[in-house]
Amino acid sequence: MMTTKSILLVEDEESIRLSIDYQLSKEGYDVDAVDNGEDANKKLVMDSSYDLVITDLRMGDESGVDVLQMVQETNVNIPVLIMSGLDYRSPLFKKAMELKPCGHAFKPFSKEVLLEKVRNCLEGTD
Amino acid sequence: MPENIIARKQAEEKLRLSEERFRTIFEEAPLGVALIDSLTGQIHEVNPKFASIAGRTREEMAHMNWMSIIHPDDVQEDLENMSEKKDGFNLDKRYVKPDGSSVWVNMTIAPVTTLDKENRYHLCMVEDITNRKQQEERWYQSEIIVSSSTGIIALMDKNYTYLAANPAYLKIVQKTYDEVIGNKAVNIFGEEFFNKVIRPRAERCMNGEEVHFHDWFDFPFSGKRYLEVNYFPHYGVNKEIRGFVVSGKDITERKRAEEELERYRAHLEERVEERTQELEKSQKQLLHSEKLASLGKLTGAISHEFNNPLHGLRNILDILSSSVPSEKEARLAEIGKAECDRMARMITGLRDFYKPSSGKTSPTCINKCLEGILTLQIKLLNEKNIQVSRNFSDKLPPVEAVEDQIKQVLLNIIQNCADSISGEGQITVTTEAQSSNVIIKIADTGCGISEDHIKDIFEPFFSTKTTIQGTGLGLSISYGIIRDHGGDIKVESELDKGTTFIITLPVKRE
Repeated sequence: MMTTKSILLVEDEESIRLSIDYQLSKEGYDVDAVDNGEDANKKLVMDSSYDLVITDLRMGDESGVDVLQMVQETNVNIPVLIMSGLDYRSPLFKKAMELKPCGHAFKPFSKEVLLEKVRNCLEGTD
Repeated sequence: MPENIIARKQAEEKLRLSEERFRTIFEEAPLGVALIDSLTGQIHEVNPKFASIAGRTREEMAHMNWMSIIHPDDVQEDLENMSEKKDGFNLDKRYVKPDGSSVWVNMTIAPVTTLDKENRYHLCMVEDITNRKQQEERWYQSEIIVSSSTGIIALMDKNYTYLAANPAYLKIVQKTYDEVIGNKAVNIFGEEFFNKVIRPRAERCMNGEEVHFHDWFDFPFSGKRYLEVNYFPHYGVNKEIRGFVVSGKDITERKRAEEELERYRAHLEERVEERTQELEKSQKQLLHSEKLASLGKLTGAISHEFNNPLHGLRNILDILSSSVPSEKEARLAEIGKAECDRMARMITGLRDFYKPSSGKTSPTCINKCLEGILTLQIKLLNEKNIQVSRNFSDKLPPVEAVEDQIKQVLLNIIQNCADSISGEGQITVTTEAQSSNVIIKIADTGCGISEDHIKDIFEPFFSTKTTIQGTGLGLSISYGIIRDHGGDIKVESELDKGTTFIITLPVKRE
């Protein structure tokens, strides 16, 4: 039997954070949702057993790039899925892509796209 | 009394009477008469008329020398005449009055030999001609003025015979004085010119009207000249019309300069108009580009801000639609999600709008691009009962362009054409090489675009489509791309007939 996968969701927009949390939970994922990089760091320090980190790219003063770097510094094995309302041409997106996240999705995207991306990222962790 | 005495007395009496008669003639003659000593020039005697002409008394003159009353300029001539012309002579000369003024006289001098054997005399008869001389002087001055005038002046009688003409007139007709004076105008100007130009106006003039005219005249002798001409009636002493005076001016050079100036001015106005239009056009384009560029910047900046809440909203609708039991409510939630997707497309479209091209250019075959697009679209088009006809030039040079962008434009326009057709229709795609450009014409048999809308179709957000697909950005993005390539898109359309998009792309980019 497949073990329940745990996902850390980092998103400062409440509507997105709550809805994605809901969608993923309904699909049987164990979701921890935070709204900033600092809290994400605390969670990762306390529990490094997450199967996936999903992070927004631009959150107030912080960026998903910081979260991505933090994950890779603490535990290289956790894949990171980037989601962004930015354009693929924006410098921040390009910088994030250099760090080779396991995937990316441009907002707004449907539940189907989300679940597919999540499944793709988790495949490597089984 | 002895007979010889009587005879002598009678002879003496006869002589006395004769002498008295001649004395009376001398004293009362209307001409000035003077007797002058031929050798000394001493005045012997003058009659009252002479004294009056010379402005002196007889007594005063009786002892004066002849030379002293003659104007200094005329003395030499007088002396020469007296010594050379033994039989006398006649001439005009000036006497000087005591007050210094001159009087013109016509003088006849002849030697007198019979009066006194010992002394030789000259008889001098003078007539005051001051008035005549003044008149002559005035005529002479008029003559000078007329001769030196650059205006043409001539006098003709009622039969069009020249009585006078000044040098300027002779120059215009290119004839000598003798060829003109006494000749008829018809001989100078020729039958046709005389009957067409001169006679009708001269006839009016000789009916008492002053006639003024100016025009280009094609003279038989000097070609085209521009003249201002006036005909004035010439009145005789009894106010009868005796002919007419021609005066005028040859202003050919001035007229040519004026016409040249006028042409230059017209040309200049044309140039200014052209440049103004060019400037207005480029200013409009600049404004348009600036508008689009700032819109692009703005949308780039806000797209992130829009995408986030849109994503949240979409997710929430998605969640609610799966938990709402009513079919109607589920349908509404679906529409809500579709609307979110439409907004997302619009944001993406906006964001892509007028972004400086990051694509690399390469030699692009337009025919191949079109062929590729049509192959993909043909099924869809045929389903809509749209026939496609290709009219490709096989001499088309490759265009230096970003291939993906050009394909995007061509696809967009072909889709627009397809959307304009309801029912059956046709799309004709034509390519041709034209000097340094490639021309792509995409024509449809669709509904056409009204004149009011044509100017707006490249404006962002302008759309006549009511369907959910239309963002109103396709054509403006296309326009931006083609302008980026240094080309242009023009639209020709007629309502209910169809629309033709004409894309011009330069082969080489500047």
